[in-house]
Amino acid sequence: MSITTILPLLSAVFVLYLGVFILLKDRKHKLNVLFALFCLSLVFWFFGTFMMFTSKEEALAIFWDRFVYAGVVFIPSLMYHISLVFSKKSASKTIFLGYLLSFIFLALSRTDYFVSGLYKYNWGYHTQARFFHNVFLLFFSVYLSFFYYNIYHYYKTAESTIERLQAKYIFLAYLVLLLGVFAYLPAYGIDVFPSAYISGLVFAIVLAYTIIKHQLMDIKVVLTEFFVGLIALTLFLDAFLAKTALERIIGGAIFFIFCIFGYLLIKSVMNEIEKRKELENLTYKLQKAYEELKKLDKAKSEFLSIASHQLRTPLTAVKGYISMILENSYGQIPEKIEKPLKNVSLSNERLIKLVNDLLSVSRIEAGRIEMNFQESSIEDLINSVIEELKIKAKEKGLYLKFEKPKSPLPKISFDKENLRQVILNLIDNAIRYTEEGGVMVKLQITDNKLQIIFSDTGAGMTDEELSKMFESFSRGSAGNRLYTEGVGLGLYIAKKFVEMHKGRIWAKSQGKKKGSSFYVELPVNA
Amino acid sequence: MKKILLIEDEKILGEMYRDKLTQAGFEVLLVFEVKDGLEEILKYKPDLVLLDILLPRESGISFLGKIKEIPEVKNIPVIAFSNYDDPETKRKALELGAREYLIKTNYTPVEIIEKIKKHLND
Repeated sequence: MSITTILPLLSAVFVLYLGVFILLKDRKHKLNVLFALFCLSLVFWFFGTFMMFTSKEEALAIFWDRFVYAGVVFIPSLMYHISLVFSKKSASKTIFLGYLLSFIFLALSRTDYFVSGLYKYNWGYHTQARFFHNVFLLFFSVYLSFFYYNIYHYYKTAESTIERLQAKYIFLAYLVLLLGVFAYLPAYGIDVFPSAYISGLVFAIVLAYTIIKHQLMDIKVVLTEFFVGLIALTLFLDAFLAKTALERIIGGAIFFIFCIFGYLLIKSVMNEIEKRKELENLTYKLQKAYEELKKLDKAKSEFLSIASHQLRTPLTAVKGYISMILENSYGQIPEKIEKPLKNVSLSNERLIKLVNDLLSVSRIEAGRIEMNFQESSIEDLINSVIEELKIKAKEKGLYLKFEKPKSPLPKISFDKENLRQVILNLIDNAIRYTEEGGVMVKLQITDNKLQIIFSDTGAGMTDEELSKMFESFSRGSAGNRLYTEGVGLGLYIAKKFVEMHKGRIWAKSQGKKKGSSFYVELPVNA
Repeated sequence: MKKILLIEDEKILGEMYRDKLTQAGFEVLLVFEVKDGLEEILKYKPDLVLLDILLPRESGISFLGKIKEIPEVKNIPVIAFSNYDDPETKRKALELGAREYLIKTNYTPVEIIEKIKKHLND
């Protein structure tokens, strides 16, 4: 028996297995049921073709050819029905008509009005087409056109790339199936070997693949299951059809061992797929959480900016008008209201500083501080801050001095605004916590590092206070005793800004009432 | 007499700065929106613009972007001043040509005038 003869039989077994396999995947799904029925009609076609090839008698050849048509008459209506399910359309009347015609042609194919007589070819026999065979071909063409139209509609209305891809696959398979028309030629006396059943095989495979993708089954798992099943079936048949008992036992043992390993293989593939899906899912969730976090962070930052803007607006009006009144912009003010107005102004400044510090802390903690490094003179910066705070020190009867280095220092890169804030906070702090004496600022270069030292003759600190000095909302006991205005953010902010310059900040004190020294160390190439 | 165009939507603040600037010898045009600001800048060609950023309908950033495209007014110095302390907005304002971005609460009106005089002399 040649391969061309046995191939229809193998195709029949394969398609039968494929149909059962898809059906078992989901018996409730219409598409799976229709596909199984479609495979059954192909089994009739392929098996009938095989039997026709191997028939030695004319009567048998006619019988098996009619057997072929018993399946083929249902192909157009089943394909049309499948296309309706895929494209989510409904056309119950047309489906009913299609199946009705299929049954009518099934009945007619048993008669001589459909096929009768035989053509004899060198490869075998084929029945001769009669009138209703031609009518059947018309029915076949019309319903296949409906199939084409539905798949085209499915492609056009597909919402995802996967659906469009599925439509393309089915359409490609349809084109291959069209080659199946050559299978009818021998019925009209045209000597063409009926190998066109291969187109049906290809169509079934492509349709199965599309169904699997459509139902989001993992193709790796399905293929593993399918081929393990196919090999198991082959081993079973081999054992079953063995000639001797020994061959049957050996075949059975091989089949049994293969089933165990096949099962383990399928399980391992499923586990791998499961883990991959879990990982994809987690990655997706992580990505989503990150996007949400970014949105929240942005919203928080915008809220902070807007909130501080709204808080600052009335403070600006108070600051502006008080300063203008004190400047006698609205006429000379009585002396006795000068001090109260100055107190109002001071209180307002405290609020402004508090808002500024809270905004800075929020920005620091959110990592939203932008550094703008530029080469500049640190001495000039210290000088400008000292100029600003000189009056405050003088009002308390304190000195505020800057001990400049003997030789000019090189220019270093720093963020002017932020470093200014550091120097301001440290000197301001020193003035606050000093009742007599004053504050000295010194600059020196040590080991390629610039050190700014802020020394005061103030309240001093214990070791415990020193250790917590740079935490937010920390003021030390002197802060409470002296009822100073700050909430303890100035040093925290100073520390953060110094660290952003890749520098260090620390404090020293001999103890209570012995003054303190604060050190800011910056790399010369900051 | 130097002319200052003041674009400020907060009535209290606008009047405050207008009073102080007038006392300091400037001629002040006060408007509340970008649309009016664009009309005035083309009509009166001020010597400097004091521009708030968070304004109704259109922001000060939009104003900066638009005057940059108008040859007759693009070189008029603009000082952005706002209580909206947003680094991104500040960067955009400076990129679009604002000479400075001042936070209002950090300056008294006298200090703002010092800044204005400095930029008028530059």
